[in-house]
Formats: sequence, structure tokens, C-alpha cells
Amino acid sequence: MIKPLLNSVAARPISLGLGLVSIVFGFILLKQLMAYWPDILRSIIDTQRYFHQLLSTHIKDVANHADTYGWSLLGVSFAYGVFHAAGPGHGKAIIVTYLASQKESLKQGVVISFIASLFQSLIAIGLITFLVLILNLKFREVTQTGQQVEQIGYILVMLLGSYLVIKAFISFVRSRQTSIQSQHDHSHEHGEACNHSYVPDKKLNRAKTLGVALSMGMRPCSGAILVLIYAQVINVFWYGVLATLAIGVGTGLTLAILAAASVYARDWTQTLFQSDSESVSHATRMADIMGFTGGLLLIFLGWSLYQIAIQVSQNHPLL
Amino acid sequence: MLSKYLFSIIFIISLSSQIYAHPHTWINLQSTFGLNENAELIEIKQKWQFDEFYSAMFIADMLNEFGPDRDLAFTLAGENMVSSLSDYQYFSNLTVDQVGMSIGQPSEYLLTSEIVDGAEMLTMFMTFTLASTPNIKDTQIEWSVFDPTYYVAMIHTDIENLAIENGQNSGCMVNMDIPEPSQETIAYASSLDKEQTETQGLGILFAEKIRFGCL
Repeated sequence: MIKPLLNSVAARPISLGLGLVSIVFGFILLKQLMAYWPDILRSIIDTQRYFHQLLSTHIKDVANHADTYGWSLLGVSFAYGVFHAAGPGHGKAIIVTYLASQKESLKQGVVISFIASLFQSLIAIGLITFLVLILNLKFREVTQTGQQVEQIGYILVMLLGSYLVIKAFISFVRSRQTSIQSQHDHSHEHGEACNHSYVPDKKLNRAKTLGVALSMGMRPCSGAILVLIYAQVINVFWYGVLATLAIGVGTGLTLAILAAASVYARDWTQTLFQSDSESVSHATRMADIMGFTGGLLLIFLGWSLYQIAIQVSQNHPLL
Repeated sequence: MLSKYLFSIIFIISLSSQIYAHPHTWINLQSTFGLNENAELIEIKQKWQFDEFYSAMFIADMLNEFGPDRDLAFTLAGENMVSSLSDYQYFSNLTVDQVGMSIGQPSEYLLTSEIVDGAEMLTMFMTFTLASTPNIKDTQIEWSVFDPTYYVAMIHTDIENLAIENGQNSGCMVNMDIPEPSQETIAYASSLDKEQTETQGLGILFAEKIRFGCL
């Protein structure tokens, strides 16, 4: 087995030094970011509001001059999606937590991001189509139903978290029982190209990736619901549908970038602390502990977001 | 070994700590503070202008329910809105020397719509006549209007949307603090929530604080 250069004995102090320097720089960067955080947060919220207004103006323009404004509506919707997802909230913490703690690849992260976002748009479109066009409910009742569906979405996130916790726990127990065996197996699969401390997991099959994405996207975006209602009120429902899908793509893009960042960051923190002496059983245990913590956090996130959603849907005089 | 686990766990936690509710509806506010000749605050007039999406949705529902007479529909919908907002003190918070003071029910209100840039905007006017009249020179008065859940962002945006009536001789000015929520205040507000369920949500962090400055 060929060892990567950084893991050779001579390179260890260099690697350690680089690691320490990175930590110090990372810390300084974080400090600086924290200082500007209120400004950043405020400008994100202002930008969101700007796009919110721009979007309503464009839908209105489309109602009058469809040919001229159709494309720009799609552009504005896409941009709205990008900034909406970049702003506070939007449950993006869910996907980031999931990817930072589990073993998904970059590709899976990007796929999950886009499927979850588009699914959110589709749920919103489905809700409006069913409740308004077929059942003739009031718009207000649609936003309320949207809030209830959102709560179901957060319950799904909690279930996903529980599943990950149980999975990590079982794997932890098993790896303790068969640690010698697994160490042996592992040395065959682990080529030089693989410098991650995460042991290659059995590839999640497509159905499971889809399941994860859907449980994260099982929430209609309230913003999209408002856009669709508005489009319906001014009789351009189909443009509303297109705008909603464009919002989904924009949201997906932001989430995919965050997903990629969290996958890289995860692998980076792993290599930083990886040492030659480390056995594979340690790496497995590490992965299980990360998986377990991530699962717990997802339960916590799902619960907090559920609480906020309940607060809004039960006690809001303007909803 | 232990430090490695800790580092990884802290890493995940720091990633997932960014949870906020975020606004989906905006209300542009105007507040006018009415004084008497002794520089006492006697009434607060508010104007709430809802955003285009909410306005379109509300007006369509309203006409569907109470229409087709628009004036009657606005009157009935206005009654509903005022009564449902009443349980939430109209999202308005008045404190005098840091002690909360009730603004009561609006003595007058009107729900209507205004055309802004070609769009019909739902607009609510409310006048609150105060039961006790604090002197704005002798006391520290603070005014803020916010939705605790932050589902609705309520903002004056600019000092131009604040005014003092009959304040010419008082030598007082109205000021506005734009909030800058930091990680610490967010953590503080989150801990507050567990004990005070009525202030749950982070709307308070983004609430503008309006005060008076007198010569």
C-alpha cells in the first residue's frame, strides 16, 4: 500500500504546522465575519425584500405584456430563489447539518439540494392547484394549509434524524464487535487516492437519496405560495407556476453551493486531524460519532423549526 | 483523540446554529405621536401598509367573502382585522421608563387601500388615544412595532415615517434605532423564549426602537 506523502513520517510536523496555521487563520476569519454579521444579515434581508417587490412588479407586468416580460420574470424568480435561500431561515441548516455529518458524496449533496428545492416548488403548485382551482378554498386557507404541511415536513426531518441516530448507533456497536475484521477488509478498498478518514460507505442507493431529499423538501415554500396566489388573483396562474419553478431552481443552486461547501469542509476537518497511526476502526468510530451527532442535531433542528411553524400557524392574527 | 471528536462535533453544531424564522410579508409603518401643550404624549396614530402579495390575497378573499360592495367589504374585514390584532396588542409596544404601558383599543380605525406605483396596497389606519399621558421630556419613552414570530416584517424604514404632532414648542425630536442583532442577542432571545412563550420567535431582534430626544 502506497502512503500519501503527507502521511509519511518526515512530513508529519509540516502537516501539523499547516493544520495549526489553518486553524488560526480560520479563527481570525470567523472573528472578522462575526463582526460584520449584523450588517451582512441586514443586507441579505434587504435584498430579499427588494426581490420580493421586484417579483410582484414583474408578475403584474406579465399580466399586461406577457411577451415582453415573460423571460425577465423567470430571471427575477430565479434570483429571488437564490437570495431567499441565502437569507436567514429556510431550513437550509437541515441540509448542511445532514451533509456535514453523514457520508454523502459531493454529487449526492448537489442532487439532494436540487431535488429538495424543486420538490418544495411542486408541493406549493400542487397545493394551490388542488385547494384553490379544484376545492375553491379561500387564499388564506391555502397559506394556513401550507403552514400545516410545513409542520409535517419538520416531523419528517425529525424522523430522518432519528433514523440516522439509530443507524450510527447500530454501526458503532457492530464495529466494536468486529473491529479486527473490518480493519482487515478496509485495507483492501482503501487506495492511495482516498485520503478521507471516512470509510467508504455502501453507496446510498438512489431510492434512499430520493427519500432524504423528499423528506427535506416536503415543505411548500411560503414565498412560492404567495407568488402563486398573486398570479392567480391577477389571472396569470401559469406564469406563477413558471416563476415558482424558477424560484425552486434558484433555491437549489444556493443549497447546492452550501452542500458542496459543507462536504468539502467536512472532508477538510477530517484530513486535518488524520494521522498515520490512526486505525480504521477509529475512523469508523469517528464516522459513527459524527453521524450520531448529526442525527441528534437534525432532530433538534426539526423540533425548533416545528415550534416556530406552530407558533406562526396557531397564533398569527394576519395569517 | 478526544479533542478530535470535540472539534468535529463543534464543527457540526456551528453549521446548524443558523436558524431563524424569516419574513414572508412586509408591512410599511408610519407612526405619528400626538402631544398636548405640556409635551405629554396623548395619542399615537399608526398607518400600516401591507405588501403587494398580501394585499392582493387579502382583497381577493375579502371581496369573495363580503363583496361585491367594496366599501362594505373593507368595513367588515377591518372589524375582523382589528379584533384579531387586539389579542396581540396590535404588535405595538410602548414603554415608559422601561415599564410596559397598554395602548388599549384604537379609538378610530379604517381599513382601505391605496394605489402605489399602480398596485393596490391594503392599508390600515389606527389611532390609539392613551389612557395615561406620559411627558416625553421627563420620561424615557420607547416605541416599537413588531411581529414576534417575524413571519411579518414591520418596518418604518426611515425617520420620515415618524412624526410628532404639536411638538413645535417641545424641542423634541424622534429618533429610530435600527437593530443589529448579534450572535449574543440571538442567543439571549432564544433563552428568553423558553420562559416567556409569548415572546417566542426572533422578531424582537429585528424590531426598530423609536425614542425621543429632547433639548
